[in-house]
Amino acid sequence: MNDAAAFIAGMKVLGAGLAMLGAIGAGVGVGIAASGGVQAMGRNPDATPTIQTNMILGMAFAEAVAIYALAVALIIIFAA
Amino acid sequence: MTTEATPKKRTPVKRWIVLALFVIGGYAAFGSIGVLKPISPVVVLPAEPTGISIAGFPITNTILATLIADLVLILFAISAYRFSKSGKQVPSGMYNFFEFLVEFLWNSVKGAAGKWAPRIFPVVATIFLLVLAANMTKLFPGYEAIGYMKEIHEGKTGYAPVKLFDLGSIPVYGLDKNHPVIGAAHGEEHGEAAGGEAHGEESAAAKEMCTACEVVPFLRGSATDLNFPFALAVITVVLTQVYGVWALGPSYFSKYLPVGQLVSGGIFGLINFGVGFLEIILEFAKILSFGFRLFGNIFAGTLLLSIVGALTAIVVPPFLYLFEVFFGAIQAYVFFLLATVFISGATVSHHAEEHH
Amino acid sequence: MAALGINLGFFLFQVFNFTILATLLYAWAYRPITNMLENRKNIIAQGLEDARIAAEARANAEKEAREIIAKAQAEANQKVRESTERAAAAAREVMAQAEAEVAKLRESAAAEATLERDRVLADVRGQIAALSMAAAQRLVGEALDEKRQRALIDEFFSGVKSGKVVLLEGSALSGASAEVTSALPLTPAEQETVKKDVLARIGAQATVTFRVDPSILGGLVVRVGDKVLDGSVSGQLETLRAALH
Repeated sequence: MNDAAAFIAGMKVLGAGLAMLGAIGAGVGVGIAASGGVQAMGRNPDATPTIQTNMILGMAFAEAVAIYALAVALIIIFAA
Repeated sequence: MTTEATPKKRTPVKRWIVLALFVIGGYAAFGSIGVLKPISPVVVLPAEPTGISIAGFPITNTILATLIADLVLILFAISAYRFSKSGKQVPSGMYNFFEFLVEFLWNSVKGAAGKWAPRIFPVVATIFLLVLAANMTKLFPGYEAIGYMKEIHEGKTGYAPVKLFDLGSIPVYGLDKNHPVIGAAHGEEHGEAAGGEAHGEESAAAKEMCTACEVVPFLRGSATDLNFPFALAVITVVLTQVYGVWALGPSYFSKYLPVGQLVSGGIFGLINFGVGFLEIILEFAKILSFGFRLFGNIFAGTLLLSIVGALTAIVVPPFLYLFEVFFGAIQAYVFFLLATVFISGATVSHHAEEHH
Repeated sequence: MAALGINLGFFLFQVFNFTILATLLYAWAYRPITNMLENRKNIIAQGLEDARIAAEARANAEKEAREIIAKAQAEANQKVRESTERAAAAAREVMAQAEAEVAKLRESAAAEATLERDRVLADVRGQIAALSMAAAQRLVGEALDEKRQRALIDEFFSGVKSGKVVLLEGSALSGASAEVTSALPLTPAEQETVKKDVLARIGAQATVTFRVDPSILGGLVVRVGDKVLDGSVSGQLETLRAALH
């Protein structure tokens, strides 16, 4: 393995790691969604099913960002 | 002790068995010969062929795992069918659990989709059950452990094979963790030799034994192959359009191409026309997020399990396994819930909201 | 794409697999189970309805039962009271009857005893006469004519002398009934004599009863109305003792 190839391989891994920084936002978003959902359920336990569905939905959308980051990272490592 | 007339002498047999397993696990991980020690996994994204092929179509290990999940579901379905034919009213045993799942799903779908529930239910319930079955079966021992041995790629670290015993005419090898070997440059791949973390199988026609080996498992979790989640995602998104057209007719497409608003709505019509394009992009984004969510969670979980298992063979992995059970179920539920919400949302007209 | 493992063949396999599985599950699981769930819901609703009706019926039945029990208890109390009263009455009656019977028995036993005594006395009269004669013979030392002697003794006991009641001679009597007391039972012939004599004095329609009282020792005591003619030996002895004093 020559230096150039090793450099490229190292930079790929580094890039993938940086791409996964996008997961930070998703984590915060999911946490906020969960917090809001739990508070809402605490205030109005009767509405739990509706709140739960919408909470999971919102979490899924927030998580989507992390998923895009994951996709990018995987593509960098394996496909680029 | 209870003060009963006949106090039962409880012999804690199970406790001793668990303790013994702990001790054996600790011995295997730290104190024993290298062949019993768990090895670090080789991260491979694509599914690997198992060597079996049906009519020229190679069966990969994830396809094999999917078929096993199918088999489990079909067994449950048969139990349900037999129960329904038996005319009994009180469910029991395996069927009881299955009915609990189906009833739970049915109530969820009915709550979300209303009168379209009976038409949507088979699709989304199958998604849930298939993902759940795949995620649960992949946690069984043997998955990602038993396979054939292959010469590892150049520059990576493999392990030396050790012959354990013969299973019939097939010699079984294990990988010796105490003897890591750096993969050498090689032109051709050595195949067919079998191995595993603990044990593996070798085809009778072993040509040449590998020196730095990796294991290609016969079974790997379905969701660790992108084909599986993406197939489900594409099915969901395509069926969303199908159900939308079924429910609303051609007017469903006005969501994507709001031509009417372009004519009547002035500047906002133009904006809405642009939003329609975004909707189209959103559908593809849905495929991407659906697919990668399931894949990412399960693949990461599998990776975590094997890496942590290689580092600390005891104490931590059981909790991670519990975590995986939880996450497998949650991911199945999230996939199911999102599919239900998207499909049932497509059956509801958007015009009513827009005109207000 | 190939590096990520996405392969059209495998992808299509998964789609195909999903389609088959969905169809199988629909046929074998979803349709039967959803049908069964609906059935069960109906059955449970029906069961709850039935249970409600049954509970109502039971409540009614319990109420009825309570009423019936209360009525039965009242009736039973009534019966008990009645029967207690009846039993008390019967007991009183039985007691009275028994008492009456006892009294009757006592009376008849007394009468029988009197009769028995009279009979025994009648039986021993001859012996007493013989004993008296023997004693008198020994006493006076001369043999009396036995016939005469017997007549004397009879006269002593019955107070009847040659067909006449000695006591009654020279007395005026009047009354509806007469009671004649002798020390020993009188023979029918003597009774007849006494009766005829008494009736001749007080009137034929009067009744005459005979009593036996050994304590008068001999002779007769005749009581007519409130008048007593004492011809008894004990009476004469009493008179004698009074005279001696």
